Amino acid sequence: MKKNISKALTALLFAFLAVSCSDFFDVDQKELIGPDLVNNNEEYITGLWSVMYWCLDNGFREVGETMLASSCDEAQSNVRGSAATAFNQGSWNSYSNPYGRNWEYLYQQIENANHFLAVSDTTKNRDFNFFHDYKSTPDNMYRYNTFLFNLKAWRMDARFFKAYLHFQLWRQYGRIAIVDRELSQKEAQALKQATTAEVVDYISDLLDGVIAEFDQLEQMPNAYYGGGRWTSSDLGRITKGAALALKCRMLLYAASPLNNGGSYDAELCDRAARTAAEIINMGIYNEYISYENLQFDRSAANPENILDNRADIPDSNYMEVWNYPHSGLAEFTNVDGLGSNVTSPSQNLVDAYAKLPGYTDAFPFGARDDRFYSTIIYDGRTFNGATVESYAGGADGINERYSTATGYYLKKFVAEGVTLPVGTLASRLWYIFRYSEVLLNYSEAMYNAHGNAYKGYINGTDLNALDALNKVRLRGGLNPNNVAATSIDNDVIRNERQVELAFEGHRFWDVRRWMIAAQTENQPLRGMYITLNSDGTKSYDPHYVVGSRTFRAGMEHFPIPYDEMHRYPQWTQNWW
Amino acid sequence: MRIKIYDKRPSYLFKAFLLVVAVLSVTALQAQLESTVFDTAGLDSLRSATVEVAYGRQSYDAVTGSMETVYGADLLKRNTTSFPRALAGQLPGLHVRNLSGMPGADVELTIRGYGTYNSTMPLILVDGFRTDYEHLSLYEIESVSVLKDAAATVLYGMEAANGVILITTKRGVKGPLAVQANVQYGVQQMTKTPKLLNAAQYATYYNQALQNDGLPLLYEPVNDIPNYGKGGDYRYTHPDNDYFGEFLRNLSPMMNAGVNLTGGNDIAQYNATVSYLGNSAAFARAHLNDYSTQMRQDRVNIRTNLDVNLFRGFRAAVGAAVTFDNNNYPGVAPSSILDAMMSLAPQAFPITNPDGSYGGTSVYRNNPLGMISGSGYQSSLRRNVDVNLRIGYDFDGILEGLSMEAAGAIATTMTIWDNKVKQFEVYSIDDPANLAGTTYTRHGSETDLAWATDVLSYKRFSFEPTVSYARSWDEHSMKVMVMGHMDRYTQNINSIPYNFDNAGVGARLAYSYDGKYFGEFGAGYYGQEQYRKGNRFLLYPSVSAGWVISNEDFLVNSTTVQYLKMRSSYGIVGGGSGLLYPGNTSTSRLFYNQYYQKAGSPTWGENNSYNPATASYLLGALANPDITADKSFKFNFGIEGTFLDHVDAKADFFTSRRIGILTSNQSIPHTMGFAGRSGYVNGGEVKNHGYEFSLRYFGTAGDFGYSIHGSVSYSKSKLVKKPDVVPLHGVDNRSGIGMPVGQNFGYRVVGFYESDEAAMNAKVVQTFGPVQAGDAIYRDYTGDDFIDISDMVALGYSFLPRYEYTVGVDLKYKNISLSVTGQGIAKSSIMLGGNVIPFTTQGNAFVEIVEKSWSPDNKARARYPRLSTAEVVNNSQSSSAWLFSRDYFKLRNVEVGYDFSFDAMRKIGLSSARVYIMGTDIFTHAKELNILDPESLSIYPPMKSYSIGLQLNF
Repeated sequence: MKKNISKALTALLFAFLAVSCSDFFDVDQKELIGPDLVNNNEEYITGLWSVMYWCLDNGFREVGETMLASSCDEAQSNVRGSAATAFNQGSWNSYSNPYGRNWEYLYQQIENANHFLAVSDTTKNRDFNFFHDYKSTPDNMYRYNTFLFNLKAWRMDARFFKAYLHFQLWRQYGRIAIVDRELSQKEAQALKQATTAEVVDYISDLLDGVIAEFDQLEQMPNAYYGGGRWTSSDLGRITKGAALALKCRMLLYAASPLNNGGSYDAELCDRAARTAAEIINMGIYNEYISYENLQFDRSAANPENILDNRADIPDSNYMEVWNYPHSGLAEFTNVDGLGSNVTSPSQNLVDAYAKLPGYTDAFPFGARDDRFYSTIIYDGRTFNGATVESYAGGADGINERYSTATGYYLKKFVAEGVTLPVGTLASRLWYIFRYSEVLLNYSEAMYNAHGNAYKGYINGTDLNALDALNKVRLRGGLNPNNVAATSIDNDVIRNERQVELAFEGHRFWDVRRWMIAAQTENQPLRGMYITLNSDGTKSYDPHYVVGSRTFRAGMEHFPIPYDEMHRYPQWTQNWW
Repeated sequence: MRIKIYDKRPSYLFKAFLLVVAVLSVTALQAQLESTVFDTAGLDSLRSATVEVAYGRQSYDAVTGSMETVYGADLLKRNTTSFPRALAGQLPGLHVRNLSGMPGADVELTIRGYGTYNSTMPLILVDGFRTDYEHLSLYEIESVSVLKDAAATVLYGMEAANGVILITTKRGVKGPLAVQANVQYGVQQMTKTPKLLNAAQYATYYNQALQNDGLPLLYEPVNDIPNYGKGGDYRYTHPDNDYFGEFLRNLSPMMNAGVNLTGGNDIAQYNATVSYLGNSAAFARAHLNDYSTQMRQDRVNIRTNLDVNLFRGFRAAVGAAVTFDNNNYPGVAPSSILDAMMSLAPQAFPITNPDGSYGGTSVYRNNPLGMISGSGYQSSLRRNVDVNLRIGYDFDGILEGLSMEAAGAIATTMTIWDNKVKQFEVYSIDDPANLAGTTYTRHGSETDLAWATDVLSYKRFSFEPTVSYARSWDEHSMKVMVMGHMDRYTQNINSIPYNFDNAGVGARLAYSYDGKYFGEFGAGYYGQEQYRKGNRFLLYPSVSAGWVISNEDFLVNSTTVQYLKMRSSYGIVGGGSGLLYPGNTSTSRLFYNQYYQKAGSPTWGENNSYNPATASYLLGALANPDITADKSFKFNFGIEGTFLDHVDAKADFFTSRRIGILTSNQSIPHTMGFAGRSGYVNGGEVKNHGYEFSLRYFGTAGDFGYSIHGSVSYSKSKLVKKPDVVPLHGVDNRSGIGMPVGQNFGYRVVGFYESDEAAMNAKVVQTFGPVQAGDAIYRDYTGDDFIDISDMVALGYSFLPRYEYTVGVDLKYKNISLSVTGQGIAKSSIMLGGNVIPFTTQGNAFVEIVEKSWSPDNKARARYPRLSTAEVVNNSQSSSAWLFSRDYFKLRNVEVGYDFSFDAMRKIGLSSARVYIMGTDIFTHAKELNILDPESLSIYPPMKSYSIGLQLNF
């Protein structure tokens, strides 16, 4: 027995050594998604592509939970201590920048796109062969062709997004590094800052390739993209129009005073104008939709819509919860803290709306540019079944608890008649590109390249700078009271852009590229202080100061994050 | 013999215990080791016993590593609801922090301070195996040892760098059956309940905050505020709820009881322990339903250990332990109830309306009464089953001194949640002016009890063979031991199982000469699955030596020096336990392989009806194939001795240097696209040094025995490298490089703006947001007239204390004994925020903070910035205003006992008995932090308890 025990113990010891040396450490990876899985499975490839779409801007929550409007002269965020405060106070810097889609984020998204391009490159990826199996049976040929089509479209998307993300980076930081493929740590550390010319060339080359390929795409078997549009179930994906619109915007930015020592570059302006003309010449977009409807119409029939962020903006009511005035009927206001995140439109913006014939200072909200009424809720207006009282001491009075800071409430993108808190949801759009912006880009680019001349860029009826601007202002008669402009200069163009594109995330960047931020962002933000007199009349004070604004030289660009500069000691920082 | 010990649940268990007591026969009391000694004989008995060390036992003299031991009898001087709490202050170098007083709450154990900036959790073993230790009963523990240096821990290799705690359970003692029965009944009380504003104070101060914000007042000072707390109908129109007073009972009962049986002969020895813990928490009004919604814990531990020597050379040891841990909670998690009690304004709503319904509003539906009694209940049953087997055989026939042992253990834990949860509805009064005839508006809707269940399980399999060979010749003595270890830990939460594997081999070579000189070499070669093949296994060596000077001829008969020993060690141990890794989850634990992570998929189409993929994917954390375990280089020097028959002293000095600490890899430029998923790198380095010193003065005078003891532990760390921080060159390097690990940073408050004009026109611009009168002014260290992140400086200390000290007295006169122990910490800081800053999280506020906040009438005494109803970003920055010292002193235990034995007792079989009263954690002195318990910082603070106990020995 003793011998048996000793044998057993010895055997146990050897068993232990054998087990521990062989497969004990065979790691259980069943919850983990590894490269083998992803490279050889259509579902994962699809997932690597679709994830890129999250990088489109969501302007309803651009700076913390506020719109970018509250970080420039369009509005005041009513949330004390909100992220926008840093921009308004000038207290942002390289350590702390409240802008959400920042350096880190954008390069992450660029990496996602580059990674997708690397994985989906059928010429280089030898393992990537599952779809060849589709050809094995005739039944699968449809699937094969669809996949070939998808793969081409997806790779075009990835290149579009690279252009889109590099543009955003360059718009924010100016001095950026171009990352055109996946990098090792060593390669990343060796990156150099690109000049503006290099960035412009890089983005236009990327986009030119994509634009050309959209025409090829339409010719492919099983194509569900045709005539410049996706089938309605794929509405929201990148189109040729979107690629052109990005190129147009990028060229206009490149042509602008900020990037050319204070004045426009005529040649870049001409390129921007011709790119805008290409979109106009496509003939599939127009401005014949009311200014009110274009804020909410998510259908394929919306002729303004070139690209909107569809994925991240489902039907919702947070804009209503944040922005509804108190005075509405009970079903619209049954939320404590209603309007606590209100975006209060500024007097600075209201001043930009044209005063039409019949206007009088005694009631400054009558006879204004038609778009005013689709953008701003003002004292005395009927909204949600009640009269808004934003005069001092009124139900929606200025500076009351959870109330406006400026005397105005936001109308744009805020749907009327949404039952709160649990009832209905409203559709709305966040435009990445819409047709009127293209017209305004055309107008600004044409004017600064060719004055008000006709250059024959437009098929059919040619447009000069003034014609394009008036198309936006009059909207084919849908803005019935507006009066056409008769003369044009950069002030007219900029005013038109400020009005038309209010709250759409343009102003913050426009004042920078025009180099007027040192004035517009360096003066107090004003509101309309309305006093109800004892005789029932109201007095209007449009000089009421809501808050100070600070803009220092150099703030046209964001400083590169402090920690990143620490990794690139040889780089040039914009400012501290 | 009927003793009513426990109020409602006399329980089958106690009856069974009495039955067992009655049946058993008379024997002598077994000798128990106890750290408390009154004479050198007591010390000698401690030193002559062998000591549990890594993979075996050694004589006290032969121990060359640094370790401390406390025995079960010392733990029983405290009545705690969780065994690790009884360790506080008992083992120099081990810091025990109670996290909360809730039943079943855990403690945090740290050995020798910050050896790393990652988890400092030590490796904890029960009878040599990794298993669950928190649910052990006080009665089943023979001893607890802390292994502190490399020599003592090297055989645990890759898991040893944070130190090791060995828990040994009671084993059988040869002799006739001996029975010891203990029962302790106590009442618990919170060490500190938060002092919050009452309704009138709340209204007054909230008005002040509104005024500061330039907003209209909410509470009318003349007609409204005085009505709060008036009673009568004002209870409904002007409620004044003291949630803590109303919903927490002042006293809650607890009971610990245990029976221990031991005995055996030359062939077999056995020990069995059965124990019970009853712990009822402090909620009031938890018995309004036909089921209990009280938070309470009932735990039964059963453990048997059997040692068998079947024939010469063969030995087997079997241990089996079962724990049933039954916990009951209200349907809403207790932490949420406490949060509600903390965050509700005292006048938010009446707790009950005139018609008896729960009060509430559309916004505030979290009525604490509803949460306690109207939300159903949750009940969990946790079952631990531990079985271990150890068989050994001496191969004396083949080679004298050769023996082999194989040990295996299976530890399983399964927790079954059985929840019956419901929603409750609250009502607001529509017409406060007419309470009798008012209608009510309902908010929320009541649901039926909904049954839900959940299972969580862990299992761990361990296997450890050892071979040893011992020889002595002349004055020489040598022992070689080779061991192997492997364990697989499988976690199963909601059916996603995953493993953690750990394996290694080790060897120890011990040599001694003449009982005076001891030398030891140890090595461990360990690996874990978190590392790529090639990086997986690392070698950990250590050397150590000891010199028992008192065994030298010149001291052997000395009356001055009874015992004197010096020892020193140096070695490398690893800190590689994957379970302690930052960011370790089921899908992110293998940092050497590149994986993908899942994201939601976007949708398209006119109505967003088209979803192209079931999920989106993107690359996960960047793989680093070079990841390996970090290493700690440890040095220790110790000296201990007994002098002049009255003094016992021990001192240990240590240094450690931890390199390759796993840290997120911030050296990668963000341009690479991996910000936030940059993976990990072995790049950190922390140095640490310190000492432990303990002293005991003891003696006897006739029937009087005394022992006075104290200890001090000190550790100070230095962060040498941390790859995820960027040096920020202000006045201090805010990255913390060169400073102790966990150093607090913040702005130095130099005052508060006198007026809005002063704030507006200040020369120094503070860049956090608008400032006004009463806002904090920070010191501009850089002198650039801007306050930004570069003006942050090191403030106070780290979280873990730099000093820990204990003092204690044990006195004995004839049959009466007194034992008192106190423990404290010094140089420890915490930066508070959140609901400590009044009103900003929409809740109630601490009286002390509010009263010391700046106001126009309270400029001189202000310590905190002005009140506001929303977060003032300028004021909520980390700053000296919100930095608090955590230093405290706690009286951990006071025990008075009386031992007795008389003839009548002996007739019914009792040999001796002891009655005692004890207080546990009964007094706390905080240096600065008075709003919360400074140890736990929890709004559910640790409990103090007062107990009576009875011990019977048969």
